[in-house]
Amino acid sequence: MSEFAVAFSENLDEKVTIREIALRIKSFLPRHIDFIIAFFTSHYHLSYLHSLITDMLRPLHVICIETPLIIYEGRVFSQGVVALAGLFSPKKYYLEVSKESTQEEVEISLRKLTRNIPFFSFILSFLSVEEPQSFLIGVKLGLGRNERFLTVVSKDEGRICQILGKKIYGKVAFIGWDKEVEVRHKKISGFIPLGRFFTFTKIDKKRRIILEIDNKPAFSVYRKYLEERIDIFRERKFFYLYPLGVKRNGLYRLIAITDVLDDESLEFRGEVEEGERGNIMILRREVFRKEIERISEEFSSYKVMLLVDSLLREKILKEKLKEEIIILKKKLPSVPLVGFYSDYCIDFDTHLKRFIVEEGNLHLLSFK
Amino acid sequence: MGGLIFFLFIFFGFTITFLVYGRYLRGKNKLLKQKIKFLEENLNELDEQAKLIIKSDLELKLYQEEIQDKLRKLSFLKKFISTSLNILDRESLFSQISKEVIREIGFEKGAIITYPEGEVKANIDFSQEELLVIKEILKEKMSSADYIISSNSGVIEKEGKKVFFDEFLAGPIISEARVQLIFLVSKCILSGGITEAEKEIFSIICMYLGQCLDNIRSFEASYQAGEELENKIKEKTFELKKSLEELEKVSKMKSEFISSVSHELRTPLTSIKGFSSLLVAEKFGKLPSPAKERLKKIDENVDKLVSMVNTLLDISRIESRRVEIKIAPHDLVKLIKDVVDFLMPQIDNKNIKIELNLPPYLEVYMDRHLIERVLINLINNAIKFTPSGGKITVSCHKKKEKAVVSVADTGYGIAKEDLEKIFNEFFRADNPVNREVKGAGLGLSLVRRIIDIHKEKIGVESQLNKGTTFYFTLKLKDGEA
Repeated sequence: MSEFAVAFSENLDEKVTIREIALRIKSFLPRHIDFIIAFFTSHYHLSYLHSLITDMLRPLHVICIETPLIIYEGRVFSQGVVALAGLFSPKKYYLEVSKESTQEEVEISLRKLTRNIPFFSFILSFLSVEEPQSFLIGVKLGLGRNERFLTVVSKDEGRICQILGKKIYGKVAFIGWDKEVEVRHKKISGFIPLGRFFTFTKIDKKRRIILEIDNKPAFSVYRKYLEERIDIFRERKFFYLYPLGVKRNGLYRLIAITDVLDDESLEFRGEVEEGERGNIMILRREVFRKEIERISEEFSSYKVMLLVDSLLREKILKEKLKEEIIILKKKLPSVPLVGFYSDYCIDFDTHLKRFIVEEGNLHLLSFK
Repeated sequence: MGGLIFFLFIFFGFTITFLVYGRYLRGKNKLLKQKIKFLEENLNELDEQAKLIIKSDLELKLYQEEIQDKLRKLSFLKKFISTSLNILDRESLFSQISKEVIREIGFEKGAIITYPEGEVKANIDFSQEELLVIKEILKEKMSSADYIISSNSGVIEKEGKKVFFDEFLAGPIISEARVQLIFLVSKCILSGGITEAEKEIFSIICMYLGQCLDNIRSFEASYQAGEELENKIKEKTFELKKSLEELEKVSKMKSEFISSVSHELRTPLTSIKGFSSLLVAEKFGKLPSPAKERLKKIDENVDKLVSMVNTLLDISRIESRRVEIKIAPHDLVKLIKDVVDFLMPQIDNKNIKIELNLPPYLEVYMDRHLIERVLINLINNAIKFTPSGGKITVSCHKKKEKAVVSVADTGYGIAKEDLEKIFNEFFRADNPVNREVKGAGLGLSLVRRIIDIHKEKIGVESQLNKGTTFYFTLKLKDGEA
């Protein structure tokens, strides 16, 4: 038996904000709260928020995550605090925190978690780190091959914190739910491939650089499509608008381009192997809408939905960003929605059989 | 033979089969090539469509960015204008050009320099050398310019030292129809560089700063004029105050003079009155009839003189606040009736009708003795100026928190031009009675002063040959209203 409550306030006074949130959460969970995940914008002071949450709601665990934007029901806010509170049957969830994101710490944390919840339905983790390589190895060692895993990454250190008692920890937090708590995870991109496919012919995986595509400097893929507009495209660094896509098992994985180097190679975030085929990708609202329509039915019976949106989408969509959330809420009117924005995510690639980094998707996590 | 035939049969059979199959294969190959060509064409078509989609999407994004940038700049302009709208001095205006403002415009460096002096009034991140170089460039270009000057970055050799300067925009700040200042921004941080839109925004800011300078100048001018006016008013007020003080001094002296003269007159008058009364009463022996007649007249005139001196003394006492005033609730109706009764013989003598419109009882705040004098004066005047067979009406009624007492007669009336002066000391209106009956013109003056010390109002309405109505107010006792 699991219960959830969500609440939001955009009042700038921390005390008023948490009081409003506490009143709402207490009306749904009056007796006891196991954990609270609070997403807040930079307008609030972390330590003050923490003390107010612990004083007013007295949960066992609090995870606070600073985010540039927050989602509550069908709206996106650039100021406010949104909280997701949960109450579970005994031993149906486990929270493990690690001060560092080193391979060893991550492995130990995950092993502890899987020992406590051997039949977990899903593990969600929050990570704040610039480079996730050692984290990825730690996850591989601690978890093996497992699809029921998602890590939300913030590049800025200190954005994520977990509070136990009066100590503020940082960097990594894992939450695992027992199989009795039903967790469904789906991701939606709304990106579609354009033009003929190409082949990634030369990649420097260590430096995360695509050197050549179809045996030509990688940037030529953009030159081909943009022709006379290529200079403005490069000058204004618009490559984030059109990430590359790698086709695996009939599905596309996004490769976000973060910079173009002088030798016309592309710096990227994602996972791609030499010889893999890909396309240039474009975000289309109609595609997003269709994807939402396709999956909305399977999510309609869940008690709460946590959205992990991408800052890349925000960069591409700008003002139109909120329309995506409105579409989602319209399709799932009875499911409470809360969410936040991250730099990128780590999940399991069934084709490559390993955990990989991907940027630009909207992750939907539903609980009941 | 049979073998040869069989061999030939097989040979030709195979040859035909190969020929047919070869033809079939050639056909197949051609079809495949056609299919590949078709596929290639499709892929090319796909690429062309992709190009079209990406290019139009990029154009859309560029337009969106441009619109957003313009909206952001408009919102900045609005904010900038609203924060600097009420600035009324130059230094505060210059302090508005902050690092944030320069960044909002799309640059890293900014400065305001006076023209043509070249004095730096505000400087955001410009080096001294760079400013000197730019000033020199501007000297040549800005001589008669009232437009925006745009320059690329460059290097200029100055005193054997190479000085680098970033691309910049320079705009004149025009006030009072001449260039007063130059606004300078440099090192563009915009991805699109300095476009016409940036220049447009920049020129708006320059124009606005010029407008601000004009506002400051007109404020300074009006402030100065205001100060001058204020000083003049102060001077005039001082003069008036001085005159008032002198007037008060003179008035005081007059009161004191009247008071002392009246006092000095009263003692001999009392003695004269005493002796004249005794003589008229023939206490010193019988008098011849003509002498008695004349003594009577002396005695009557002494009475008038005593009354006049008493009134003068009362006025001066009231003026100098030497009289003790006891304002307390009293029945006004009773007082009116008493005064009318007291004056009834004179009313009857003159064959005048009197009408009283009074409530049964009305308590007001008053000094009973003083108000009695007011009533005696007013009714006495009415008797005096009402011809025989006329009518006097004494009324009293409530009006809000006041009691209004009026004494109306059907006498000769007062000319409109005299109404304002009627309460002045020694003023006597021109009418047949005044021409016959001598008086001092002090009665109504005393009446007005008595009403004034009650902080109440007195007034008069009159029509020549129809009559006059005097009225005054008194405060009703609480609960009477």
